[in-house]
Amino acid sequence: MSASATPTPLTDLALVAAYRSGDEQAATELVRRHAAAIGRFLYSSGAGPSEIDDLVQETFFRAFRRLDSWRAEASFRSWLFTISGNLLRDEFRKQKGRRMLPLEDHDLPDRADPHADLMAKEAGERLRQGLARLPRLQREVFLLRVQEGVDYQQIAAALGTTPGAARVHYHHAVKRLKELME
Amino acid sequence: MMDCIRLSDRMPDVALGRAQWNPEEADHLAACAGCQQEWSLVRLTSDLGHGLRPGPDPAAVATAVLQRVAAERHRVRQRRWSVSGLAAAAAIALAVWYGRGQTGQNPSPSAGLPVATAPADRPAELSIPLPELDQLQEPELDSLLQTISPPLTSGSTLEEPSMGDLDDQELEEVLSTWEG
Repeated sequence: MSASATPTPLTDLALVAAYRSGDEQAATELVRRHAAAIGRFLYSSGAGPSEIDDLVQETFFRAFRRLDSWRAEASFRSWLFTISGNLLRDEFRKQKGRRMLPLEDHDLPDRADPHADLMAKEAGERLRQGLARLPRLQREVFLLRVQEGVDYQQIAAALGTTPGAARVHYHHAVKRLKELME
Repeated sequence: MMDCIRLSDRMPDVALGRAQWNPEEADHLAACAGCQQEWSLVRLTSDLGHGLRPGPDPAAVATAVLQRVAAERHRVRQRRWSVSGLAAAAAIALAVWYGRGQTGQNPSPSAGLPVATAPADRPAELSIPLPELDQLQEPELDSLLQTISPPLTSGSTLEEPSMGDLDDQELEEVLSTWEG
């Protein structure tokens, strides 16, 4: 009787290499791994829920179109976040400053307590508005750190800054968000 | 103050469930209003977007993305071919035009140049595209050459002869040189 060995999941680097060699399943696996996180990042940065699917697809399109420019110094996900950030900036420019889109009720789960649900929605909306008002670098550092738990070294590599500067951006973001949320 | 910074650094990992507060950190958090405010912010942010409905099937997304990438690569290839084709056509057209200039029935000393112009030491008085020169008859061409080259034939110190100075035999020799 032999113990069944669980296959070690391929790293993003290995999946990217496999995709480059023609393995389209590798592309599917990369999408499966990162699409939800990209969606949350976009939503947290001010994208409307109804736009997220399109923006996620566009992010992956831009990523696969120029995979050569991914230097594995930053994680694949952090790199995708920077592409999403660029994409969102382009969208905001197209919309000429209309940064926040209405939150659609059906995109959030029903809760047993309507009051708690309302409070959570309001707090979430205030936070999204606060995040959308932050300078881009502060917002992206903060979201990478808090939503993804990425360390400052990786954040710096992804965003083209230094770990020390990333830390400063994080603390500026916290300070401004505290003020905006009061 | 040091505790606040250390706590701040640990907040994302605790919010994401990767770590837990130790008793010392928990005590600090319970007593520090600033850290409580930050912790609340971090938790709210780490939860943000978790309620979003699941996106489309990853396989469908990947298929759509790869189709778009392939279509774009195809477009880029086509554009490159179009540009190459245009460049080749332009080169052929230029070569044919140049060849016509070289083997035309009425060659002139300026044949093969894009425009016949007056000498640089005189104000530009004449600018005739070569195809028009091709259409001139020999007497008209001679007359034109006389008009544009008087300094060469009258009083010029240059020894280089103009076309107007050549007799028929010399002209034939020049023609045979140009036509190979």
